[in-house]
Amino acid sequence: MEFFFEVLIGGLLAGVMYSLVAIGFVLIYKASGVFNFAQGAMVLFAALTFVSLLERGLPFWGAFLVTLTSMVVLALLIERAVLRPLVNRPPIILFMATLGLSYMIEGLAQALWGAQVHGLELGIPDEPLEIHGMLISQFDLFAAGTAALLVIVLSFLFNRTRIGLSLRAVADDPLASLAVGIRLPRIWAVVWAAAGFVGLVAGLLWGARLGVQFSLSLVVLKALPVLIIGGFSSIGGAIVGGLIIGAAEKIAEIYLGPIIGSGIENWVPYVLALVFLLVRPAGLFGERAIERV
Amino acid sequence: MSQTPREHLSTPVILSVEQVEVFYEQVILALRGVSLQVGEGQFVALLGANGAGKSTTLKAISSLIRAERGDVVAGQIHYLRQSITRADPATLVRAGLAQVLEGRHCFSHLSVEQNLLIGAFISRPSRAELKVRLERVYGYFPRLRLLRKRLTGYTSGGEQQMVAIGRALMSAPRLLLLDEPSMGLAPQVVEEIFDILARLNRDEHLSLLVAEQNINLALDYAHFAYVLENGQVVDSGPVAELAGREEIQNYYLGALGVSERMH
Repeated sequence: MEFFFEVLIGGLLAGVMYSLVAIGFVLIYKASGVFNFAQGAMVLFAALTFVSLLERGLPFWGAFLVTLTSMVVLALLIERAVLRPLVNRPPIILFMATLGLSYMIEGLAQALWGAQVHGLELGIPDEPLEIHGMLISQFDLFAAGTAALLVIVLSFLFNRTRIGLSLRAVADDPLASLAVGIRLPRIWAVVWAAAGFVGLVAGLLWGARLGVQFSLSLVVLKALPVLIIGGFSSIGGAIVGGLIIGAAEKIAEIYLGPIIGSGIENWVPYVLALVFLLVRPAGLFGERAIERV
Repeated sequence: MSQTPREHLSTPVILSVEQVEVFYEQVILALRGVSLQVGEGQFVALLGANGAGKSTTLKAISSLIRAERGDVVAGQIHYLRQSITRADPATLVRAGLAQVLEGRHCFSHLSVEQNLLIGAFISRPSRAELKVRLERVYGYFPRLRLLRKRLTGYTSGGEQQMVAIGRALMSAPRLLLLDEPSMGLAPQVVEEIFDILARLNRDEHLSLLVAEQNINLALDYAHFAYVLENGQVVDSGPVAELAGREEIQNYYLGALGVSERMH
């Protein structure tokens, strides 16, 4: 039984790492209805910039601030060069634009910093902690704590500030937002900057785990089932979706793996996502259209 | 036979639209030289059937037309003597020119009070000022105070129209454009809303430009009216004068006949 809980907790904590990436998607989807395929490239860009600055001798917080600034500048550039000219186009066109953007950001990151693999050390000990006879990774605990903090900050932003309320208004009805004087470009810039910040946090944690390398941008593919299960427009959903995926893939690997062959943790999330698409297409927490009777 | 309010009333002009032409998607001609004026403190109605160009005229004034891939290609629009042709909508709201959209367009996933608050953000009010404005809106629409925690999507059509008007009032406008405020509402609710509009106009000197398909309703409340047909002003005058004319009902009935045949 203890072994089961060890697997479960390990899975849940690993799931939080997926949630971190998924939150970046949710932010942009909420405010503009666009699935931002470039989120993974932003994670890579942030991690690569950070680690390269660190290797050039900047202290941790210095590198963090410079990277954060560059993510904000990137967001402003994207708003000006991509989003503004495509305003009022169907979402599929914006999706295609983010697809292109994804390659451009990846290319830019590697042109700036090179394509070699970097190690990233955040100074968190990697020995597991022993709690009630279960081994739990300290790194995963740290990642979970970071995600919790991020969610608190974001929900404060969305629910307690004027800019947050304006953001939700834009998500709800862009034309009405214009009519009450909300400046859409400003909102988009804020959202993309926030998604860049989330990308930076995700990039540091994923980078520390996998090494900072090109394949980091592929974490988008792991975030996809999380979003389908949690719903594209809910930060809470991204967290719960991540937990479900993380727990499910670890438990499946340990208990089903010996029966139907190992390596199933790679595809179990997508099977789960397919099931959810059939049963609950809006996800667990996705915003359904309000229909009055 | 047409008159402009400047000839009729001695109040200064707050809004003047001169020979405005509008294209959608660069090919569809929606307005063919519309001219109209609203005097300060005046209640002006814009009449016409479906597709006559009422919405387009209002959106050309508020610049929301650009969000729908439309553009003012000729003519001039002045608000408080300043040219606002192709101005930024946010700048206009801040300067006191607000629009209530056709079909209400409330933020349905936000509460009634949040909808109202968002309307005020553009003028960056202090907390105290925000409260004063909120109280003023609740004063005009007492029902909204009772519903203030309710998700707007779960309120009735009439209540949503009140939210939409209240939200626009939160920006402390001097000129309010309303697009079909009576659409889809029960007659007694329509009357309630128009009574409140008339009070705002009388007591707070709020200038109004209201697009309406319901001609008799508009003629009951407005001071002056313009009649649009096929993107052009075909008649105008003080309501007392227009109401007495035979053609006015014909415009309405004739156009209605056309739109019914189209459906």
